[in-house]
Amino acid sequence: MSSTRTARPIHVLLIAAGVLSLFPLYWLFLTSLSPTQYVVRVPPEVVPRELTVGNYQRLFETTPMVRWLGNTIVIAGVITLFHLLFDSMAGYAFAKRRFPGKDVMFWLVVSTLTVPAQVTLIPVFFILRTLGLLDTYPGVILPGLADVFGVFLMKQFIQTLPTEYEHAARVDGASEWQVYRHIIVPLSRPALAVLAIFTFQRYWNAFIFPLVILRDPAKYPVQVGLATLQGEFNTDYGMLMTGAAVAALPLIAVFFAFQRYFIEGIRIGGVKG
Amino acid sequence: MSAALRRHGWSYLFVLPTFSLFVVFTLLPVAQGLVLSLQDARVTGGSFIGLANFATLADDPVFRQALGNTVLYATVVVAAQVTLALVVASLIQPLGAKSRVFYRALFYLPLVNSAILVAIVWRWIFNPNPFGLANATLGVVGLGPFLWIGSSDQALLAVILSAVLTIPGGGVVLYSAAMGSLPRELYEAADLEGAGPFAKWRHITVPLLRPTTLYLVVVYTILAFQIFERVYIMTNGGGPNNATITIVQLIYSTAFQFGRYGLASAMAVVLFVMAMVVAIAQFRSLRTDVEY
Amino acid sequence: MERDVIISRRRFLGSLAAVGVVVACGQTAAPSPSASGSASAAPATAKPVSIEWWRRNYTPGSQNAETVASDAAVKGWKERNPNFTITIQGGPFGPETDQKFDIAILQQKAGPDVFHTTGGDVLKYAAAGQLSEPPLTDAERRDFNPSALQATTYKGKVVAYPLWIVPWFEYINLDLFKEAGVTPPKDGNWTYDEFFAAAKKLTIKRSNGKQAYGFAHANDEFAFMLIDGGRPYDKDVKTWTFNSADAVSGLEKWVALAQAKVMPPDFLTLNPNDAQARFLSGDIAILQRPSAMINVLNADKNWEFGKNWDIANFPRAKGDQTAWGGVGFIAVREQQDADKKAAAHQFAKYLTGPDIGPDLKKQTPPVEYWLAPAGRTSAAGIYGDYHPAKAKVAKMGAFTYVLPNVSTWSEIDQKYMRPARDAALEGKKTPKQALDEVTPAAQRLLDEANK
Repeated sequence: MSSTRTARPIHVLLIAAGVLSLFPLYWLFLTSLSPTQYVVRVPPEVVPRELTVGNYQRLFETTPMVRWLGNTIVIAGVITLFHLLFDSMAGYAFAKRRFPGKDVMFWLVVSTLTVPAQVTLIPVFFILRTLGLLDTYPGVILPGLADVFGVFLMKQFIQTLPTEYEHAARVDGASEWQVYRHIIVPLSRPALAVLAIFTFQRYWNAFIFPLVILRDPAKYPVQVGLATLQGEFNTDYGMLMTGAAVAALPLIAVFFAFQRYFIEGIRIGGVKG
Repeated sequence: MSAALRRHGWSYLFVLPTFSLFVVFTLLPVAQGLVLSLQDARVTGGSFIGLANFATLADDPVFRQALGNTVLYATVVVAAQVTLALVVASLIQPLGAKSRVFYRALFYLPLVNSAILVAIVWRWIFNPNPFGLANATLGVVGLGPFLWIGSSDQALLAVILSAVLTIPGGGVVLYSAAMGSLPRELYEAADLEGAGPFAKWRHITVPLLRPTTLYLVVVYTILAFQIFERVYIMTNGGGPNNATITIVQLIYSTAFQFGRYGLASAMAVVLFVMAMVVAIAQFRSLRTDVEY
Repeated sequence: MERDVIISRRRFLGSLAAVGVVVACGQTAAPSPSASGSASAAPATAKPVSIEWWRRNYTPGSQNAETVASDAAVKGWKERNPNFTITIQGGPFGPETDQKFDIAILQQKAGPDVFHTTGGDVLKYAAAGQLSEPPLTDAERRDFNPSALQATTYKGKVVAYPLWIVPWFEYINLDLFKEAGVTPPKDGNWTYDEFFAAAKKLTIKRSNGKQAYGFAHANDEFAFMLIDGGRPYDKDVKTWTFNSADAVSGLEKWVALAQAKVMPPDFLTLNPNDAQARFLSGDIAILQRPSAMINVLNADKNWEFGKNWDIANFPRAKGDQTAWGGVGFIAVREQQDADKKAAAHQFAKYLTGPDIGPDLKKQTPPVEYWLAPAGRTSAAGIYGDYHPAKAKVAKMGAFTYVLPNVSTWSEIDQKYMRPARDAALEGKKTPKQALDEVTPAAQRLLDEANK
């Protein structure tokens, strides 16, 4: 259905829209590569006058950027892994199974999505203090596992999957766990990929919770660390933009790592449990 | 009970890990927020005052302004974003595999930017000075200059435009992932009946994507209801004469800057109820009875 | 108004903000006995003591002004008192860190022994019984700037040490003045009429084709409302008076600037960073900003003091010469451990006293401790020595109006005063109407603060 003739205007349209959307990213990298004196300009400069890696050098020499990145990879990585497992399990139960209390539980999940973090911050802080988890990685990770966007996402996706596979597997004597493990998980790969991308990004950019929960700067994730580059009396924008640029790179990598799990159409009856 | 447990044990087991964490770190804090909303709580604590916080809000013109701005923003932006995401994903889908990867990346990559940075760029685009990109562009066709973020009449419009004019990369990626896993048989059957591409899209793709659409509508609504940083940065706080103030922005300043946790929690409760009502309505209207 | 610095910070990469902790202070040289006999030099006690200092915006390893000055301050103190161990914990200057400090200080009843704070926070902590009263002698009391001392008074008692007073004044672009044929104010003094005429003449299309504007500010103070003698509160800080005839006529003078279009079209949403950037780009002839911008201009090689930039006082009208000002404080937390508390007071006195400036200037490389003029006379001199512009600023302390500390000010300011000001500046309401309308709400919040 996509002859070249009909596709060409579509390509033009899509690329134009994409290039516009990419502009802030372009500007970010451009700024990070510009000498400091050009960074704070109104209006910002679109075409570089001269390029330098000076900001990158200063960033890595004067800040524990590597440590911050490492911390964030651990925090966001662990949270993402657990979300992939837990959310697909819960999403499967909510999408395909019937059990008492399901509706109540699901509505609790959906309704709490609306509560802004500002409201839960202080209660969470005290719960973590009770648990003795302040200033620890688990203290940052556990509240991250409680967010339920992923459950909702997986539920909505798994709902679109045909039920035939599950029935066939059960007829073949598969256990409930096997149905989940060998039918649902493989079929959900595209959604799991999206979930991984979204979740990693969400916790890669986490700021207020880690800031309040962590005290030891050696444990800071990157966004909290970068924020320390801003001052009341002065801010090194070149470094700040460079930090933001460096922090964007892992997200790009994660996107490409996971997007290949997107598949192009499934066939009912094509797989056997 | 034990019979039910035997029959539904697996279901509960599947839900258990998420739900137990959810109870401790979300439900409990939210319940505490509900309790706070009935107190005149400050950071040092407070006493029970019933529904007085809600009465305060009903009387507060700033809150009403924030409420109106938030609802208007959410209505326009959610409609635009979901439609755009569906259209763009649909345009990408029939292209070759390489093109698909390329476009998904193209539309997703802007999301790796911090929201703050994107807002700074939009602040520049809608700057009322001649160097503002919107005015510079419209000037070419003889329009403007407009005051945009510099005026209490146009600031909210500028903020809404900034959201509407952005391709919703997350939605595109999600739709794209979902489209890939639609069963091919239905399309092949439709081909046999001689259905054109638009008919197939309209009668197969869109209905089958309903659960994804529902997810996006609900999540985009929630995110739109929580709009804060974009406005904060584009219009330097609440904008001229509070023209762009939003609920979450008010929650933020009420809690963190004014130290009124009780009142801030009451605002969050209002937001919560609004979002619930909208979510229920959306679940109703996008109910899926699709079976294969 | 310090809150607005927060906004400026937020606007850039606002969601990024943060905190740092470090076991401060590398090995110092052999202790030099305290030579100065001044009031704040504490006797070197033999017993080792370890205290924690929370300084917003302290970031270990970074070169920001607060970090450099804080590290140097600890070093300076250690040289006088080698038995002290001081740990610094930091945080960005923003509401998230305020929140973090609040939780730690008010809820955990733990945290810093000595900390840096501003505005309403002092009263909040005092009201919660978390502040230990500074043991000030009468001589020391007289040494502090009275309005700064008033700003740190809670229920008749001084609850923290005033650190510095930050005045807002005018930065002027001398090139633009020359280009527009405007004579800069002599000795930095000008009347509102002279200022207004200058701003009008300075609003020109520059020779490079760029539009320049005569005047800009960054929406973070209400200096013009003081210009005819208007003040937010009466003397006892019991009655809201920012709708008095003098306040109204002050706002009218502000509105006149907007109507004459001498301000850039986005002046209602201009934040401090953008305002400064526009000045640096040569688009603004007169910019109203606080003293910290001196260092920004100094660091920019395109700008040379006295050659293409200078500073001038806030213009004068019916009232006496004045300026808008903010205050920073050093506070000591109330706690059981008497040794720590005493040590914290000694250190707090040093941080706000006359010795620290010279001590840090002697270090190699020399460090400027005072990022703004000191809150007490005996410590004020050195700020002026740092830079000729700062010498001018140091003289402004005498007439700078320091906003009395009212715990609900940020709410009055953000929720009511700013919208009222905007409505007037946009011409949607008359100044009188706008200010009268918010008076009941402001008075209610003032009463609440006085309860």
